[in-house]
Amino acid sequence: MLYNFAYRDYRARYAQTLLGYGWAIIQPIMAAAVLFFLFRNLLKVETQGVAFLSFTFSGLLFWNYFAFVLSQSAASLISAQSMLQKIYFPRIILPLSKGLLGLVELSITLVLFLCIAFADAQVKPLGLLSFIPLIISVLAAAWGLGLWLSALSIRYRDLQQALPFLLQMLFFISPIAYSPALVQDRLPESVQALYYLNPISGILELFRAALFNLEYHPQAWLSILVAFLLFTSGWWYFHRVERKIADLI
Amino acid sequence: MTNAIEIKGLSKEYKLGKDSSFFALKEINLNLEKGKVLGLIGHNGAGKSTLLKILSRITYPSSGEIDVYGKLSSLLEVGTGFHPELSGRENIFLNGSILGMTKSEIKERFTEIVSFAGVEEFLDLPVKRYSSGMYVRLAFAVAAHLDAEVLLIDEVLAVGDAEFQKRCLQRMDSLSKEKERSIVFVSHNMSAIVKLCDEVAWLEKGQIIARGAPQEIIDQYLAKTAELNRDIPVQLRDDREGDGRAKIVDISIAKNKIGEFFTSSTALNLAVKFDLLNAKAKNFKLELHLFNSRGNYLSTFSHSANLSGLKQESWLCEVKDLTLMPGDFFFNAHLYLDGQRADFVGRAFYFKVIDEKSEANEIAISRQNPGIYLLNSWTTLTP
Repeated sequence: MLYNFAYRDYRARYAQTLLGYGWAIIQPIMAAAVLFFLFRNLLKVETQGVAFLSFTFSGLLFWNYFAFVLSQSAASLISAQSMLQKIYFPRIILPLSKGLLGLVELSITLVLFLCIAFADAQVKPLGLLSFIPLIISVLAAAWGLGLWLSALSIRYRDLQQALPFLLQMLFFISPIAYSPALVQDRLPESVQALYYLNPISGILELFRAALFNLEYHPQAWLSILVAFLLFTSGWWYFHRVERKIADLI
Repeated sequence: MTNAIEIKGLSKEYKLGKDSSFFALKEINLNLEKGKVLGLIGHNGAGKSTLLKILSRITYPSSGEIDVYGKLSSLLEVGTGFHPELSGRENIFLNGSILGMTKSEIKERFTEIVSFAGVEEFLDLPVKRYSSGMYVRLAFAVAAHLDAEVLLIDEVLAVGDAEFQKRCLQRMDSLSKEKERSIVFVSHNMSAIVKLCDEVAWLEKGQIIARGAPQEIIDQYLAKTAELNRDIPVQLRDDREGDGRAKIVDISIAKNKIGEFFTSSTALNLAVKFDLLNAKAKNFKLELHLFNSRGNYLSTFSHSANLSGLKQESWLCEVKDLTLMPGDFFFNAHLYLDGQRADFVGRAFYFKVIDEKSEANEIAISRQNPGIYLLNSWTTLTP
């Protein structure tokens, strides 16, 4: 059923579009181009000694999937309102299926990233293996927040307004187009761990460390813990309100 | 006897504000035997749909117990699980899986579903290109071929043409009789309820106020409805059927202004007015079905014409000789646009026929089942 829901969205997403999958290629390239101009040419940020494009693209690879799954799953209940009031099915399928849907664009971005990374930077091929557990962690974080937000937004529609803003903030505080050291160096050592409460920052740092053979902060693992905490708490809260969904929506 | 559904002391309360609340259902007790069809009747807002929603686990009761034995599936609104961008074929699989069928089960029944819906040629077309009739047929076909032991069906017969409605009823009938499926069926279509159901429950204000043999309960219900709707102007009636593309707003007596009373063999001039809401249709058909106070059908006055293009149409129906026996009568009003029913108001207009001779009126009152007056004359044969 999870697959069927994802397939339904997948077909709808690309129906009657001119470029179809092309969007999955154009979006990250455009984003990388803007970031390249801003962060590299104007701000001249440091990227842990890795070529800027490869560095940024590795960030976008994770970020795009995270942002897609989070925003889609957070809106999943409200956009399926009529279905929720007329058909019974396990409600949690709706937000979870968005994780599957995001895989389409993720795999296209991944191929694109690999082309760039192998051409542009020094890559440790074995480090690529870390992609699988780390992307699962990102998924857990996106699902977790998505479950929380979708369940909460039944009562508080404000969250629909707040989400794009939240995502924008998160984009800038995450080390996507700049080295985490940029932030870490300005923080006293005692609070540096707090930086990894943002699941994206730690997961990205670990991935880059594995792929580009870099150092990483010993507390970066905290991000993975946070991701799975978000997921389990989101799952718990969603089940708590599941029965009231049709009445409140 | 084994039960398919057991409901004990079921209530559903909706909070309206801080201290006020509203009971959509109150202390419902109901059992349904396996293989039987239960009809639910009642006015809009009586709680029929809430009960079906609770049975199908869409919403949960505030108190009480429900036991459903066997797999349950519901068709509460036609085609809700359909995605307009997907093809008919994809939607069958998608909808089937949402309703709880596995892929191989759907494959097994695929041809049967397609031929029941009659959409063979359009299988690979997105359903948004389907006509509304095809859409409805496909949705019903998927639900009606589920392997569920208990089936909940809410007012699907309000849409679709007469031929399709007949097939839906037959399908439900054979499901219950041959396959021992239990069905809960909500409808405003009383003849369908009588044909299909083994038992009828009448809900009013969230409570079951009568339960028993279909014809008996329906007679009680119709008598009550007649009283309730008598004084409500047609425009304000909300117990309508049809797809709502147009609305009958007025039925009144024109020309001779003698109130609701007519003596036999005088003329009846009825003015019918309807609003075309946003409908883009070419032609219409108005049908007035005449019934006596007992609800027996007597005759039909119908008229079709092309639409003038104005927002409101007004037509006059003249019955030269109203050859009816003294008593009470009413019309059901149907309005079709391009062959599809757009509006229906039951008991839309009442009138009374009285005779000059008062004893004839007394007989009419005592009989309460007036018929048609046929012109007759008598001559003596006694030599």
